[in-house]
Amino acid sequence: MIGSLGMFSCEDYFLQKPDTSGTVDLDAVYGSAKNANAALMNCYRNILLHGWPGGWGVGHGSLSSISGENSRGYSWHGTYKICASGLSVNGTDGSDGGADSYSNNWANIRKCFIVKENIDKVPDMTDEMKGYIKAECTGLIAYRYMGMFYRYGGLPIVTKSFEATDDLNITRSDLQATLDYILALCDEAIAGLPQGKWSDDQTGRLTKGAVMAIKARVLMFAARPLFNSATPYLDNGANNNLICFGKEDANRWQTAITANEAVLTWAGANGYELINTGGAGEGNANPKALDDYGTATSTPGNKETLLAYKADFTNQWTWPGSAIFYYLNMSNLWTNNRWDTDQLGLLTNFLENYYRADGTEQSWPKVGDSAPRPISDWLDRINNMEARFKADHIGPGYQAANNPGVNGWTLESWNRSLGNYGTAVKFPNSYGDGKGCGFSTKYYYHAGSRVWFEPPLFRLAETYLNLAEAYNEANDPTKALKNLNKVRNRAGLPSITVTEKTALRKIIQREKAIEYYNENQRYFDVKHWKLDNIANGIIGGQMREMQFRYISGKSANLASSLIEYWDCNAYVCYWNPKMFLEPFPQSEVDKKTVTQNPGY
Amino acid sequence: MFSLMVGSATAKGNPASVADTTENKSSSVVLGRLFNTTKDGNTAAISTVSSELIYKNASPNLTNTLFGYLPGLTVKQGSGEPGNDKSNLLIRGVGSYGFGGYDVCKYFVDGFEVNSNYIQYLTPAEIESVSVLKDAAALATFGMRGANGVIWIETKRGKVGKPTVQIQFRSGMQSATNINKPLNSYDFANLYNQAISNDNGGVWSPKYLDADLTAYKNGTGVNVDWYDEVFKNSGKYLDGDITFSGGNRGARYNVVFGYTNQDGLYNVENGDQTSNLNLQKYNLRANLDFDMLKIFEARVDIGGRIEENKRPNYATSSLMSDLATYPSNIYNVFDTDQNYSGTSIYKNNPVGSIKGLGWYSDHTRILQGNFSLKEKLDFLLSGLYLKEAFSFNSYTLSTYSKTKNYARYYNGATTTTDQTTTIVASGYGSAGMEDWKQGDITLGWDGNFEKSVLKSALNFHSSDYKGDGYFGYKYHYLNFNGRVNYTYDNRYVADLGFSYFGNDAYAPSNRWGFYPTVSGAWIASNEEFLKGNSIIDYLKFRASVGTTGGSDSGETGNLSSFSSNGRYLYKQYYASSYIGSFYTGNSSPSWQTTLVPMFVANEKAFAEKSLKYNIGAELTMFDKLNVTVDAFLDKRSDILTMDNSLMGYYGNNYYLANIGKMTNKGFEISASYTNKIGKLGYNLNGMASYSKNKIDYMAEVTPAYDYNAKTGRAYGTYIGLESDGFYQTTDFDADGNLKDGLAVPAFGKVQPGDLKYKNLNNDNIIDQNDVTAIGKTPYAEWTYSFGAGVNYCGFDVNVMLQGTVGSDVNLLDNWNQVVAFVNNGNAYDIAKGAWAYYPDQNIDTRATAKYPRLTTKNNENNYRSSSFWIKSGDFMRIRNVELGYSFGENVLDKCGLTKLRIYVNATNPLTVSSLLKDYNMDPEVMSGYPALKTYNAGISLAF
Repeated sequence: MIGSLGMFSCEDYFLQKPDTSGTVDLDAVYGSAKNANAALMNCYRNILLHGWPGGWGVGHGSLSSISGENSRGYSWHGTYKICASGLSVNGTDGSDGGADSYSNNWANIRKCFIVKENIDKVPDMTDEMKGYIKAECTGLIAYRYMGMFYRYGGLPIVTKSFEATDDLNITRSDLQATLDYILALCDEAIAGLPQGKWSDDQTGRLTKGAVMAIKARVLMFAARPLFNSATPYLDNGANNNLICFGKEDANRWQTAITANEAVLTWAGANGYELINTGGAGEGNANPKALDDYGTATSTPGNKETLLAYKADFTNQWTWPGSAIFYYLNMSNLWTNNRWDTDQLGLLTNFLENYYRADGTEQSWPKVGDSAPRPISDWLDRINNMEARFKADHIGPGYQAANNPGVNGWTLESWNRSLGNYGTAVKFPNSYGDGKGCGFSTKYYYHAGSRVWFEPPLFRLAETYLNLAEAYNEANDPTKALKNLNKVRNRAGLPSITVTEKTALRKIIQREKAIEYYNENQRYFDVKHWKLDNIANGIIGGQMREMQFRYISGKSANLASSLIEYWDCNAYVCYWNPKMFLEPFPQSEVDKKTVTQNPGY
Repeated sequence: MFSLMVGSATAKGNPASVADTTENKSSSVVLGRLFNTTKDGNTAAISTVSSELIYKNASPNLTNTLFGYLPGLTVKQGSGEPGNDKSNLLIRGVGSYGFGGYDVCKYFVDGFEVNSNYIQYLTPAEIESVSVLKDAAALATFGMRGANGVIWIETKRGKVGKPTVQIQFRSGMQSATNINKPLNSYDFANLYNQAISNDNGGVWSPKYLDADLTAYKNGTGVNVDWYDEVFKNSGKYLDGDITFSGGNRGARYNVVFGYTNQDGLYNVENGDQTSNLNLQKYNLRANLDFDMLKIFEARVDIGGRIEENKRPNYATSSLMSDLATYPSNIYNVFDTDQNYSGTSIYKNNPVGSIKGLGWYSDHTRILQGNFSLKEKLDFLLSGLYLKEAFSFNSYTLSTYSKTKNYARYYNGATTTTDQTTTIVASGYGSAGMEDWKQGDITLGWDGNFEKSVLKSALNFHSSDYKGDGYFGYKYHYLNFNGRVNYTYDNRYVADLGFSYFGNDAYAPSNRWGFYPTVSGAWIASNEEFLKGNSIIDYLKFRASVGTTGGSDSGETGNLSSFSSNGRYLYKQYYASSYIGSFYTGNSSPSWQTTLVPMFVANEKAFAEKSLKYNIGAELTMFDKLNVTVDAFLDKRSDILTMDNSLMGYYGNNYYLANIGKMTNKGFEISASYTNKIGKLGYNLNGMASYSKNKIDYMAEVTPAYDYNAKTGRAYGTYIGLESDGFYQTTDFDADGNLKDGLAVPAFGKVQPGDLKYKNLNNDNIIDQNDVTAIGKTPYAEWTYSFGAGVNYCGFDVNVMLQGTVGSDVNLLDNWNQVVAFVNNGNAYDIAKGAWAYYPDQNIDTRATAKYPRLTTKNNENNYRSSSFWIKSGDFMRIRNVELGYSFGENVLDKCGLTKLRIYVNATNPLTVSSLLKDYNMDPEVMSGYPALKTYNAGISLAF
């Protein structure tokens, strides 16, 4: 008994804390600046990936495959299933609902709050830096809220990291309250972030300008017709205020203009600008369009990009970290499971948006033509296309302009089909689908053999196009054209002079589509613009792909092998107005606190 | 006091188990932790079997010998692979989903905790008895180790008497209980033609043309029975042991040496280049007792063992999967020139796998040493004693192999990058170790006053385990516990027990749990009104109630990088992010470490709690019939559960809390009847155990419809769609679309012959909202056994049958044998029942189909969990049948022997089951290496 009492006293020794390795506990994380910084970096890593391959809900493909830019992918890709049957409340291919990972949004917002709430404990960090980090966390939360705002509408407002014992019965706030909360987060972050840029070795962290751009984009979506309307896209009964503001308010465009002009002001004062090095002067086509557009979309740390996602994985086998490069780099330099990206070609539907280099319309084959066209027609027309097309694509018989001669980016070394090819005469029938008019080379301008890139999250071209759109809506075509032509001229196209509001709106929307091809914006833009033909070849409806006949026994990718081509109906995509917004996961709705969006 | 114990021991009958009817020596004592009780004094539900009985189930693995002897214990046979043949054990069904399923009970040998690795290859010769501790009274002192029951093993000790030697030897052969072979090439090709045509819109488009089929039929085509190539009919088995026992009052010994050699069923020589599956096992145990100076009693036990496993250098599971999935017509065993065939799809020629890759072996060494010293303190107080004990248990696994490779050929050319190499020996390396030390101090007092008998003990047990594993390799616990057993006048018994248990898994402020138990018994037959009754010899009623805990949890398996068995959840742990880093910097971005929280810490995380009720009765009538009945209720609460009910915007679903609830109830009944008519002695016995559980709360997200839920149903209940026959051609319009009014499945386009499902919510879509319970669980509700024995003039015959009722199996869990052709797979008899309609080919099974239409593609509609694939798992096996002859005293005296018996024995010779009949699958081991039946001849002698 005495012995056992003795043992009792050494309980602390015997039942000690776990002797595990490879882990760090909360005290240790906020016990050193180094570890706290690592927790912050995890927030950056996860928050900013939202919407990009590997960072959205669907396991395969990118948003471009469900917004009528690229083909739908393979049958196991979530994008294929969404094309076939729309957004599902049970999710598909790894998402927990729609085309998003709803729970992942909140898990990452929670991580930001934890850093924000604990950073003051760190002993070896200046108060100034603690203040910055809190502002960064706030800005990152705003970024993720922004993404959810235009996906879902009104959202539950979360203001801290919850304890399990907290009252978790938080319903969705209405659209205005959600907007106000995001704007408040932005203002708080802008106030707390450092003046100017981070030091060179810290580039990639949020700046005042980046958060201003978050605010500017949120206000654009608040002003666009999906939300800024007296009537919602579908009647949602008593909950209409979750999906629309309840009245159309022209002032929302003014607010958006102010916010976007503020971004330009900050950018100008801090060395950021739209890249236009051709020296042609205001209002004239830029002779160095290919180089400038290529640099703006591809070069890490370029001066047009306010914020980029910096996760420069070089290991092709790191999943899902590498997914972002995996689904956006289809070149022969990417060797891991390369075939999985073999069905993501450019649709004819989207090809038709591009201008010729002189700003005129291109004339492509149509379904229903009486005969196929010779391949010389194809090569001529491709050759006449505007710089942005050339920078962004490689296809049947035409080389990528982005990395001339770089092994891996050439037709000769591509090592798989760039088009829907066949040798038997089958016009007007299809040889297949998935390869469209070629594959994206965006983001890799002069990248050489580098497989990673830095996805630009905010480029100043967006700010100019936002201003063009907002001024046009605010009945100021002069300023609208001034901003629109900034982007058009940089791309080597002549100025637009149309001032009629509806016509100009269409031109601006088309400009945004071209400038931001494959850049994760169109999927949201077309819904919030409520485009008339959204069900007819944009998100839903008939998708078309070019077909190419070539000489049997030759390498089909090369121009010399091709004979003729024609356009062809490839597949039909599902559209239902309920898809203007995404569904909440059924598993979340079943908990009976969050109300589902209408139609699901 | 001693005289009183003897007095009570004269009561006849059986304390808990039918198994003891032939084993009178233990019937007077009921084993338990801290102290044993008399049959009268026992208040607990405990079943016990002697090693002599389990020896009749011939198997090297102890867990395979326990079938049918222990009411309340469900034993599910595992594969017969030598060295990997452990059965699944379950005491009183599934009590908790937190650590659900088989093998959640705890094991104790000679009072110290061990793990299943340790007990599985103990040899029956070194064991005295195996008990199952089932109710609160039996588990009172086990604290957080007790919730799922305990298997309590005691080893043999020497007795005062002249030295004796006992020798047992048996040898025989083993073969598979059943092998489900795939179709031959002809049948395969015929069905494949159907499948490929079905995939081509129902247009007949055969891959195998008439010439191919003719070749298959007349034997000129490739047609390899891979099972015949790899397996031989039987493997040899032998085991033997020798026991030396004896001693005097001062020192006693029992020393056992055992040897087992078991070959596998592969058709391959044991040599330098190749090896069959083989297990060799050496057991050695010396148990010594010393009495000194009338005060001290010492026990020194050493139990050691070496297990040597050999196999071809190709994992058994992979080979079994290849055998099941490689069709008969892919290639001959050898391509030209005695080169092994192989293609890129069917890369691993099964014959090459056992003969062409060398061999692999592992060696296990286990040593348990126990020492205890008891001081009898009668000089202080009569009956007072103090006992200290210490145990160490050490386990080491090492591996050794000799490997080579072979080039794969097809049509004379190599098909893979593999090259033929010469054999190379590996290093002799360690592959894991465990170390377990335990200490024990007990202060006990046995007293008696007139009609009262009191036994009591206070104990302190500490346990220090270290093993392999990243987050759970170190387990420490402390257990302060005690028990008082009080009997009045041999009629009334009260028993109180407790455990105050501390566990390093939980927060310092929250790591101790208190578990009290109370129980009682009434021996009605010792009351005046029943004494001397001519019918009822013995009648006793028992009742117990109390709590135990369970500190294991499978729920942490849901945390992608923190599988800690429910441990250490109280602290917020971070991991270096497993999803990547972030970069900052302008010209040459630099890598920044990222840290991510692994879960949400819960300071209150603790062990689950089990509140157990038990009532029981024991009856002996006519001096011949023994009946024991127990009924139980187990209310489980605080089950550590991933809280799925938290809203998404909480921001992390990885939050575990003690919120789950479950109820489990059931009963056991066992009876035996022993009689003798002249020289003919006979006995009949039987037992049945029943248990049924229900999940009361598991934080399940409320499903769309009540019928979707898991909550409210038994753990493991099959959930899926309700099958409603096949789609017929009349269900489709001319374009091949389902006609209006028919619900559309959300699993892709269907065609005639696909499975049709019930649309439970009437929404015209068949999806996850239409799932409901489609069957029982994989865990049998009933386990039963019955047997009989006859002996006459030295001859004896014994037979024992065992079975289960009330479990289901999902055929799709045996994908390779059930899903034909998909992923280049094989086809079995079951596929012959496929729905097909090709009138031009004279194929029309529309009216008789028992299987959906064949396809070569993944079919999400047909091959998903539905009632179509759920079948009854009920079965009955003859577990053992034995014919023996014991020589009489005249022979024994001549040879100087005290015992000589020869016998023949069959284990698992016959199985009756609908799965076997309908699908040719063994009901317990449906896929993988087969279960075994064994035929042995044996001899046992003593002198």
